This record gives sequence, C-alpha cells and structure tokens, in this order.
Amino acid sequence: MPTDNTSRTKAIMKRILAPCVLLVLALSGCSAERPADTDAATSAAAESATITITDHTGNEVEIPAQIDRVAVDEIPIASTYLAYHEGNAPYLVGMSAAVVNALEDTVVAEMAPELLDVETGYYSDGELNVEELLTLDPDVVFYNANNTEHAAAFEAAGIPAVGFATSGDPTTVYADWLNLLEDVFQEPGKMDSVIDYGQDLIVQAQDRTASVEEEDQKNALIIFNYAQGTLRVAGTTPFFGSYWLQTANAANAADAEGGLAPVTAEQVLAWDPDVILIGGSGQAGITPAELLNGEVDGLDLKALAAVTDGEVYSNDLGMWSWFTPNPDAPVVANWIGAVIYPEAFDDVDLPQVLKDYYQKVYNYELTDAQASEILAGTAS
Amino acid sequence: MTSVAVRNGHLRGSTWMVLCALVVVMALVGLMSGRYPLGLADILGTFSNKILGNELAEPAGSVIFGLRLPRILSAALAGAGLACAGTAFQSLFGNPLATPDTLGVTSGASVGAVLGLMLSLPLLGVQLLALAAGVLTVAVTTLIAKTKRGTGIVMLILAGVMVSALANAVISILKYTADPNDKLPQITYWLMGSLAGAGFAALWVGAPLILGGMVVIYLLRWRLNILALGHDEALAAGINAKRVRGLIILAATLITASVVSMCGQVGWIGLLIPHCARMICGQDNRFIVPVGALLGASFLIAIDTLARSVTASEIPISVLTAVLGAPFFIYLLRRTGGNW
Repeated sequence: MPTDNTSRTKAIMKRILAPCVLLVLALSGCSAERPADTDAATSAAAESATITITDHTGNEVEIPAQIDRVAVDEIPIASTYLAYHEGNAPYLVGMSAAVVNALEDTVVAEMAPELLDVETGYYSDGELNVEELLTLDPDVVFYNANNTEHAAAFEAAGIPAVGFATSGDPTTVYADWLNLLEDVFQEPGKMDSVIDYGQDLIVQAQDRTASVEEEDQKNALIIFNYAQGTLRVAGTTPFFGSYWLQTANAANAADAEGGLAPVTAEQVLAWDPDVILIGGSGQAGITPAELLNGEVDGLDLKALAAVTDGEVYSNDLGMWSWFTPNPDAPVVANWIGAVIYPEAFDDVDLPQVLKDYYQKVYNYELTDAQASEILAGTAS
Repeated sequence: MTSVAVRNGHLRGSTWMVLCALVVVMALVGLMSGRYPLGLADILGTFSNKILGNELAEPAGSVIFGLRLPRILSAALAGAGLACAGTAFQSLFGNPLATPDTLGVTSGASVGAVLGLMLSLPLLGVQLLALAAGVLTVAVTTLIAKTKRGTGIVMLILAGVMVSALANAVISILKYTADPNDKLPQITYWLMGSLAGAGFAALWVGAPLILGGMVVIYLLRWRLNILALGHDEALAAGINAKRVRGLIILAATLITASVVSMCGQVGWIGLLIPHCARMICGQDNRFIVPVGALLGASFLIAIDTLARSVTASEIPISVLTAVLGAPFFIYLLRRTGGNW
C-alpha cells in the first residue's frame, strides 16, 4: 500500500525533523556575548602601535606595544610573572582553573592575591575554549611553545600569542622566561641583577657536590603519581627532574623506558633508591608521610631502605612543583643538594637562603613559619 | 568419543593431571619471576619461615606474600572465570563469537570504575562501584530484551550491543572531562587492564563471586549442551530453559563483573580459551568448562608474569593477551583447519 507507506514515512520524518529544528533554534540563541565595546576609541589607538618580538618557538610575533591585558594558557608561568613584576601580578586577566586552584594554598595568596582573582572560564574541563578566551579581550596570551595546536588556535582567533619553551634545564629556563618577559614589556635588562644573583646561588650549590665521583653518586627515584597499585616514575626520557638530579650530581634510580613509566612496587624494591622525591605537575596521589607510615592503599614499600631511613621528600614546594621551570630554581638547587647529600650542605641555612631570595626576587618578606612551610611542601 | 583428552565420556585422568600441572608450573614460574631478584633458595626459605611462623626476611617476604602471590591468585581466578563465562555465553547464544562482554558487562563495569577513579575513591571503592555498575548494566540489557513473548536470544544480543555502545559513550565523555595531568592517565591505564593493584583485600571481594559463578556454570555444564541446540529443543528435552538461561547469565555476569572490577578490561581470554579447550576435548561442554577454566588460569598467570617482569615498566594485560593470544590462536586455527 504505497499511500499508507508515504503517509507513515511523512509522519516519521515529522517526528525526527521537529526536534532537529528545535535544536538548531536553541543553538543559534546560544552564541557568546561580545566583549563590552567601551573605550573602543582608546583601545583602537593603542592597538595601532605594535612591536615585533621573537618568542621561544623562533617565530616573530607581533604584539601590542602597550600591554594591559594578559592571559595565560596551560603553562606554570605564574611565579615567573610575579618575579618579573616584583611580587605583583598586574595586567593578568585569565589563567587555567587548575593553576589557580594549585596556587590558592601557597604563599601566592598572601603575596599577590590579585593573581588568584582572574577569569578561568576559558580553560575548564582541561580543554581550551578560544572563543571564551576572546571574550576576555587579551592583548597577549602566554602559552607553552611546544603546544602547536593551541598556537594554531590563537592564530586563527587573532590573539597575539607568545610561546615560552618549557624543555631544557630548569636552572636556565626560568632565566629565558624572564628575558622573554623583558622583551614583551620592553624593559631590557630589568631582570639582570635577579638572574645573576640566582645563577651565583646555583653555582655555589653545584660546587658543593661536584667532587662526588660517579660510583659514589646516590640514587634518587622521582615519583610523579600513584594510583591503583601502579607508580608513575621519572624514566629515562629527559625531563625537569633529571636535570635537577644532574645539578645535584645524583643518579636516577629508574632505568625504565619513557618519561612517565608505570612500575610496580616490586620494581621499586629492585631499584632500591637512596632517596625518594614525590611530586609532579599534577596531584601526586601520595604524600611522603603516607609512604613513610605505610598508609598507601595497595602499596607496600615498608621494606624499602629509603622508607626505613626516612629519605622521602615532596618536591611540590613553593608556588608550584619545584621541579618545573620557576624563579625559585636557585633555592631548589640548594634544597635538592641538601636533601640528597645533607653532609655537603650542613653549613647552609636553607630557610635563610629562601627568605633572602624571596626578599630580593619577589620583594616579599617571608615569615619563619612561611619559610618552613614552603620547605616542608604543601603535600606533607 | 575417544580422543587424546576424552575416553568413554569422561576426561582422561592424564588430561586432568596435565592441565592441573600446567597451572601449578605457571604459578611457580610466576613466583620465581619478577623485577626483584629472588633465588629459589630465598623463595623456599621464605615459605618455610611463613609456615613455621618465623619472622620473614625483608624485602623477600613483602615481595612474595605482598606482591607476587596475590597477583598470581588473582590472575588464576580471573583467567579461569573469564574462560568459564566465555564458554557459557558461546553455548547459550549458540554463537562462537560470543564473549563474556556480549551483554555489556565489561563496558558497564568500566563506567563504574572510571567514575570511581574520578571521585578518587580508594581501591576497594573503585572495585565495588565497578562490580555494581557491571551487574546493573546486564540487568538493564535483560530488561530491554524482555518482551511479552519472553526473551529472544537475538533481542538479548542486540540489547547488549546497544547498552555497550551507550556505556562506551559515557566512558568517552568521562575521559574527556577528566583532569589530563592526573586522572586521565589513571583511567587509560585502568582500561587496558592490570593486576598491579591486586591484593588480598581485592581478592576477598572478588574471589567468592568468581568461584560461586564458576561452580554454578560447572554444575549446569551439561545443560549448556542442550541450550546450545535452541529453545524448542531445550524445552523438548524437559529443561526449564528460561530459568537455566537466567541462572547462567547471572553467574557469568557476576564472574565477569568481578574480574573487570579487580583487574580492568582483560580482552580475548573469554573468546580464545573456550575455543582452545574445544580443540583439545571436542564440542561437549561437560569437558570444555573445566578444561577451559584450567587453561584460562594458566594463560592469565603466564601473561601477568610477563606483564610485570619483562620490562621495568608494567605492560598492560590486554595488550599482551592480544599480542600473544591472537598469533597463537591463528596458529591453532591453521593447524586444525578450523575443524574441532
């Protein structure tokens, strides 16, 4: 019966089409509101003046000469930004929610509360939403130079983007970041004294352990993360932690392939590291205290020498993981040296080094309590 | 039927012995292998000290009783359970491609586990949530398949496919929203299967359900032969097909959900091992169930031993079951010409 079939088909089509039409109508009403067009004339005048700088991707980037609104993509540059602005966070309008959450419990909240009071909406659920970022009307966005995907998104959206290279030795990368910020804000030489001061501290720390022969080197194991019976440790691929072990003249206990190698407790027992350092860029899932007290769900390492000797430390210190590039690097060089070779650093007053450094670099006077809190780590 | 494995309608004693010996040998090899170097003397010494109640030398004691033994026991149970569940579903659905996942239990349990991981639940919490979600998923599948005229096999399989697809979509969206620094690697790793988290606590929850399910399937194994003929034939043979089918689905679901909740997604065993068992002992489910269980236990112990001892990094189990299992199965297929 063709007629019957046709009418039935029509009825079905109606039932399918109607919701589709509704959906389209609903979506068309959902486009984001445009940023407020106040001061259109002034911003147009400022935009006309631009400068060209070379960022860490090697590309020439054209950015406004007058920068008033800065957004930060997925890169832990907050503490470097604070150091550059002597402990303040001017012009900052947006960062990722994860970074803001991580900074909330640190000294940043005291030092520069304005840094935490920024928009985070364009970076929820771990994915960048460029349109949302556009609504913040940033003059420039700082991003991870390795992230070509985001670079393309910024270019497509017409947002001037400056790439900061994260790879390399953290004892020099933070200085490169400070120098690039000098280029962005057109203040050449502003950071010279801060960088020189820091590099001296790093050289002093290195000198203390430089004489340790290779066969006398201590083994350190760096644990990024623990979950469900599996540890993720720093493997053979170079990363921040391996540079830090080089700086301290220690050996990486893990000879596993890859950067974040999943390993079992038995493998850790076989490696038998002298020192364990816990922390990475995310949640570690365990703390030194839990490991030392044998309170970790599904992980029994009480037979490990480093655990019985109490040689377990967190590196989630300062304003972020201390292993990632950040201006605290000169203090980190002394801290990691003292953790791995305490006898070579027994005359170093680490809290005082830290307090002096924060005074000079962030223009911030740490209390004794704050200093010891930073050195103990947020995770412990 | 007389063959290497079967005589006068019974499995030969020698077949039992060889298969049981295989499990024991694999378990011993597993005990002796691992990243931490332990000699046979250390292992025997630790065991005798344990039996005599003496203090154990560390870390040998932790390595053997804390790490290797629970993994070997979990692997044996999971392998045997999946083989049983696979055999049951292949007969029940009269389809050689059926696996323990056919009704969506694996995807469902995975949703539970992923949720648990995202909520940062402890190990046991993740396991229980996975178990509950797996059982719930199969309940939904059977409800969808139920019509006024009863539950058809095709309806069940189609409902299973759909519910699986839905569950996988939920997993995708959960992975998409997971924290890429922290939760996402955990989830991805969990989905590939691993016994790294296996401890006695997990076994206490999983083992009774797996063993219970296996006992049910073992007791009903001859009825599987009749169910495989079809619904009408089963009725003609005087079997309450509906009740038996429900019991078998329940048993297989409890087994698979427990296995997935203990060690994540372990592919291939439920499909391959029953066929391997058929190559050994023919089409009779009375033999396939026990032979498959013993083969499955040996196979998964071997796979897990490789997973934890070949490289410093742990290798996900489902990668190994596919990489080693598939070529071996292809070899058997070619060897037998598909006639078994």
